[in-house]
Amino acid sequence: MWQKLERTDRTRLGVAGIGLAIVLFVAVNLLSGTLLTSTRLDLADDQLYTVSEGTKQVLAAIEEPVDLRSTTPTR
Amino acid sequence: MRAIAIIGRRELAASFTSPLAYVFIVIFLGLAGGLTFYLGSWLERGQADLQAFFTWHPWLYLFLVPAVGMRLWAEERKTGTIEFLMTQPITTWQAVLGKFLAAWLFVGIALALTFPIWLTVNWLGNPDNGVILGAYLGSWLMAGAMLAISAAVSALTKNQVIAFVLAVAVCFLFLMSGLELVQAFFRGWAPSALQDAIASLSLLTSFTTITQGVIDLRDLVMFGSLIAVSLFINATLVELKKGS
Repeated sequence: MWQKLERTDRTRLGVAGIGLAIVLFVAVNLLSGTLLTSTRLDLADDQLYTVSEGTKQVLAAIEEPVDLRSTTPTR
Repeated sequence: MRAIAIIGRRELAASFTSPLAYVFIVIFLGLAGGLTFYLGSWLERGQADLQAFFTWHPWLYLFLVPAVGMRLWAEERKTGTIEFLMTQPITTWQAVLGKFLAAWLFVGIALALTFPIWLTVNWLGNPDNGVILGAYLGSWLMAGAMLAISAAVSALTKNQVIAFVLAVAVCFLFLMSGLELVQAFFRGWAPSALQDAIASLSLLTSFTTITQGVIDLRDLVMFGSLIAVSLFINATLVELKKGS
């Protein structure tokens, strides 16, 4: 396909291809950032970074409504 | 597939017949060990993990990986051997992949040769080997991402020094993109979704997550897509420069 094209066409096509590839790269990462939030493999001993069944039961039993207070320092 | 393997084997053999491979491996191992023991105070920490060892990898790679990647295409163009390479019965893609895989494997060999520190930590204490395995994988993936960037930049120029400096700069931006240095530039005008997207492209953030033993699919997608897009740009640049 490349051989049949004129010189200027090749340049334009190449530059456009690079631009599109960068856009695709950002798009794929935006998409994976919002969609693939719970697919992770925890290699640590005792599943250190995974919410355990016991924690889930405790969380399910919490009485609502829950008050949350957060303190953030201002600079 | 066969052509990729042939190119890869030739490239790997070529780096081991020159002093390059030995200089790289010795410097990498020396710096990694020195930084871990002295600046990282690995023994004084008294913890059976390799955090003090892996924290230095992004910064070691920042200078060493572009040094491996800078020659891949710039040298071929400078010496004119690219004409010979391009007249072989292979496609540009096969040459790009073969060269990249050989260099990635080479960095992998250097990384694997740090195994004495793994033996040491197992002898001294009882570390979490799952976490260490994950950290090694993350380190190799990060090296691959930086290498792909360096190879793409190398296809841009005939001059290896320019290729090296540009590759270090681009890799540095990708390392820092989650931190204030890059984020401050976008804060004023970019929408927050874009800011988050740029932050998620940070090699440093992804690598830190993996060194803690959490292999997140998002990080794998990030490393994989960064390698893929860099190699695509690499192949396109080689094609475009063919005529010039």
